[in-house]
Amino acid sequence: MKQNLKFEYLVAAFVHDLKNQLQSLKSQQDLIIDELPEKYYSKLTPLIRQTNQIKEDTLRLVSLFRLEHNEHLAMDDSWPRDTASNAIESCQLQFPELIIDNHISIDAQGFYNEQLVQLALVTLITNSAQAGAKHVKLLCEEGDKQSLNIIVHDDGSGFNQDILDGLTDTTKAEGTGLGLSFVEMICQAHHSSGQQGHLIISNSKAGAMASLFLP
Amino acid sequence: MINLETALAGRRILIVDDLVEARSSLKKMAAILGGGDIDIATDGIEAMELIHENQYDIVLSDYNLGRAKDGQQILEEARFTERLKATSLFIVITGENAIDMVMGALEYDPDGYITKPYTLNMLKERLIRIITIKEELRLVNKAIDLQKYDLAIKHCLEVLEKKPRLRLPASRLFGQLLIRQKQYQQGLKVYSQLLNDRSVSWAKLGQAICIYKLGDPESALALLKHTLVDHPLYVQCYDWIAKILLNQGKPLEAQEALEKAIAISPKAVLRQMELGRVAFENDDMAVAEPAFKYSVRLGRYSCHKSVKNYLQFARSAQALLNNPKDRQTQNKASEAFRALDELKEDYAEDKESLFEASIVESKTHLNMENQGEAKRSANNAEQLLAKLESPKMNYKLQMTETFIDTEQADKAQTLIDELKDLKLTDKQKIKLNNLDNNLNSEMLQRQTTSFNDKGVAHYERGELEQAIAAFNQATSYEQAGTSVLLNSIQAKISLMERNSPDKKTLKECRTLLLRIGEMAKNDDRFARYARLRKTYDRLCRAASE
Repeated sequence: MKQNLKFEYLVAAFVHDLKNQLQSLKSQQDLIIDELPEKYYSKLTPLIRQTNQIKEDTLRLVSLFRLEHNEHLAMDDSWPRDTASNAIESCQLQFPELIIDNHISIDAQGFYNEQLVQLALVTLITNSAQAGAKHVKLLCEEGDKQSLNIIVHDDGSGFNQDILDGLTDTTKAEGTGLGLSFVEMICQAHHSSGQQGHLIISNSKAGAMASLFLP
Repeated sequence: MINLETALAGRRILIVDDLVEARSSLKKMAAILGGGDIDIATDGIEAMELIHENQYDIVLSDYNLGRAKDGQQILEEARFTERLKATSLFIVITGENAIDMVMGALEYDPDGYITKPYTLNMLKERLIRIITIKEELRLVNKAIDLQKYDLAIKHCLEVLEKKPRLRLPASRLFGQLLIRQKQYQQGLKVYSQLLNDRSVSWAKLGQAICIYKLGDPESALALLKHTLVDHPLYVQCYDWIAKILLNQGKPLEAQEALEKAIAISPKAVLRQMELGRVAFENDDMAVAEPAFKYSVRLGRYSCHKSVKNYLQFARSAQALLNNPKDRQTQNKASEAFRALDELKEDYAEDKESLFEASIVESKTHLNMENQGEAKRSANNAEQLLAKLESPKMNYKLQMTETFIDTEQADKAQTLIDELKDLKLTDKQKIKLNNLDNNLNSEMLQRQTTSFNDKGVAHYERGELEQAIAAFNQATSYEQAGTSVLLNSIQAKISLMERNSPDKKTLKECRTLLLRIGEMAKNDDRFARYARLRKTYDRLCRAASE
C-alpha cells in the first residue's frame, strides 16, 4: 500500500472511532440526564457544552481535511430547515441566552452536503454570538434548479469594514478568526449546473448578514 | 409531512449496532419518537436471523459492524432473499467516510442514511423526511413487491411529473426499473438528464451500465474510470469495470479492478467470490486463495453460502502447498481440510458435494505427500461416485485423475475405457486424452513393473502358476516391455515343461512372441529370446504328436 494511502486510511479509521466515541459519550450523557434529579442538571451543563464543542471541532477537522485534499464531498437532497435546526440545537447549547429563529420553510429543498452546511451555519451563528448579537434569524430563498440562498441575519454590530472590503479575515483577538474563510471554503466546494457556491457578507440596518449561495 | 409518532406506531423496527451504548441509546430514541415494537441485534448474523424470522417495516443499521457483515451486506441479503419488502425502510447509520459507499449502491440502495454523531432531534427530522418520501413512493414500491415492474415504471413517471421535489429518489428507482426491464435507451436518457443538473454517483454508474448494455463498452469504461476519479470509494464502478473487461477477454485487467474494489470494501461476499473465480481462471492462486477464504468466512451465515466456495478455497489452497515440511504450508493445508470437513458436515446429504470434497481432499493429501490418506480419500470418492444415480462426466474424469494420482492405474484404466464409449464434449474429450496419455506413459509402466516384480518373485520360489498370473497382469498392458514379455513366456514354458504342453498356453506364448516381433541379434536379450523360441517350437511339436 502506498504511504499516503495508508495515512489516509489511518486517519479515516481514527475519525471513525472518534465519532463512535462521541456518539457513545452523548448517549451516556443522555442516560445520566434521565436518571439524575433536575436540580443537578446545571452541574452537567459544562460537560455537555464541552462535549458539544469537541463534536463540532471534530467535524470541522474532518471537513477541513477533506476540503484540503479536494476529496469528493457527498451531496444529496437536503432540507435547509432541518440543517438549520440541527445547527441551532448545537449553538443553543453553547449560547443559551442567544435567541435563534428558524424562518426557513419546511418545504425548502436543496442539493448539498448537509454536514458541511450545518457546520457553516454553526460557525456563522457562533460569530454572531461572539460579536454580541442577542438575536439571530435564519432564512432561505429558493432559486432556479433547487439553488439556495441560506441567510444568517443577526442584530449585532455588523462586519468591520476591513472584513467587508476583504482586507482582513478577522478583527477578533481570540479564536482562529478564520471562521468566514472556512464558511467560504464550504460554499465553494458546492458545484452544480456550471455554478459554484459562494458566501456574501454585508451589513444591514439591523446587524450583520451572511448569505450562503448553494447552486 | 407525516406524523412521526403515528408513522412509527404499529411498525416493527429492528436496530442493529455492535456498540452497546449506541444500541440502547438508539432504541431509547426510537421509543421516544413513537416506536413500540423494537428488536435489537448486535451484529449482522443476528440481524439476518431476526430478519428471516420476522417481517420488519423499518431497519436502522449501523454501517460498520465490526469483523462480520456490515450494514450494506445486511441490506443486500435482506433484499436479495426478499425478506425485506420494497415498501419497508432500510436506514444506514454511518460516519462520513463510508457515505460514498452507502449512497452509491445502485442495486441495493438504502432508503436513507443518518450520519454520526446525531441527536434525538436530528434523528427525528431525518426519519420524518425519509418516511415521507417513502410514503410518496408507496405505489411504486408496492408494484415492485408484486413484481409488476411495468406498473412500477408507470407510477414512477407519474411521481416524476407531479412531484418534482422527488426527482432524485424517483429517478433512482426509475433507472433501476428500466435497467431491470432492459430498457437501456430510456434508462440512459433518465440518467443523462439528471446528470445535467446533479452530479450524483449512482446516476453516473447507471449511465455507464446503460451505455455498456447498448453496445459501447469503451465509452462505458471511460465513464466508470472518470466516476472513480470523483468518487474513489465507489466500489460498484470497479465491479462493472471488471465485468466489461472480462467480456472483452481481458481477465488480468478485470482481476486488477476487482482487487482494487476488495481493498476498499473487503466484506462483500459476492465480490470476493468473483475475485476468487477470476484469479483462479488466471491461475493466480495467491489471490484466489484468500478471496475464497473470505467467501467461505463471509458466506458462512448468509444466503451466499455455497459448496463451490469451500471447494474452490481448498483447490486454490492446494496449489500453494509447495513445501509440506514448512509450517506455513501445514497451516494452509489444515485450513483447507477444516473447510472440507465443514462442507462435509453442512452438506452431509448432498452426495455430489461429498464426492467433490473427497476428490479435493485426496489431492490436498497428495500435495502434503501423504499417499496413504490420499488413497483413502480417493476410495471414499469412489464409493460416493458409485452411489450417484447418473454421475456427471466431469465427475468420472475427476475420479480417473484421482485414481492416477493415487497410483490406482487399473481403476483409472477401467474408467477411461468406460468414458471412451460415452458421449463427451470436446473439452471433456481433450481431458480424457490427456488422462489416457498420463496413464499410459507413466502409471501403466509402473504397474507393469510391479506385476513383473511379483511374477519374478513367484518364479524364483517355483510358484509357476502364481508367476504366470502376475505376468499375465503385467502383459495385459500395452506398455509391457520385451523383458516382461520374455518373463511371461519363460514362466509358461517352464510350467509346460514341468507338466505337459497344452495348446492354450502355447497359443498364449505365440501371441507374446508376436508382440516381441523380430529381435536384433545384437540385442542383449537375443540369446534368451532364441532359447525360449527354440523350446517353444519343441513344445509345439510335442503337443501336435
